[in-house]
Amino acid sequence: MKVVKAEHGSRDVMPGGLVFMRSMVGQPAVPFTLSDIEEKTYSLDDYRDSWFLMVFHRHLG
Amino acid sequence: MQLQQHETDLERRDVKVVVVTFEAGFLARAYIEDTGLCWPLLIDTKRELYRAYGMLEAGFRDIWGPGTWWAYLKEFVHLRFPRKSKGDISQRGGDVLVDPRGIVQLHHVGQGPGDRPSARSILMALDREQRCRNQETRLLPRMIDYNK
Repeated sequence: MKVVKAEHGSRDVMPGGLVFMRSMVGQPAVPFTLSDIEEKTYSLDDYRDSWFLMVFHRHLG
Repeated sequence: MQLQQHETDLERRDVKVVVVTFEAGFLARAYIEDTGLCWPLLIDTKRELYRAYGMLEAGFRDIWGPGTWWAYLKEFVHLRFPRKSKGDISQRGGDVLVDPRGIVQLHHVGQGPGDRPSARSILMALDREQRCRNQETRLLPRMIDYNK
């Protein structure tokens, strides 16, 4: 079964459209620019040269 | 959030932390007030960063499977009672640890509500990676000397 690499190399799309996730360990972190509730922006570059943990919440409410 | 109880442990290891959510406005403000969050809460309403790390929508079985009930049971034992959610419960969460070179060292996509690495396991992974990194930097000058 042929596996087609998708964008970022993180997801693989298999014939039939089935998408599954591969671990991204060992790959470069995905660049981002996001704001907080005070409109202050943060990007991946702000955390260059330090250990950096991103905690993705499911939902807040 | 369990990890917040380990703020000093993370600080001692020189780790910067951000929390990412797809919910903005009132919910985000209320969350910061309720939890006294000490880290930046970044808003990703389009969920692009979620998707980039493979945190897609969870299916019914992932959300309401045995793992979820087991996680809830553990919370009940500690007399912690989850609130009824008003948000999108199908969004997956997860954790991503990045090293100072910008390389992902831990990548966990939660399969359901109860599927999160414990704070202890994150700290252990961090200790292991930091130890390896320190050994690499200590070994490097010796290797250069040896090749002279």
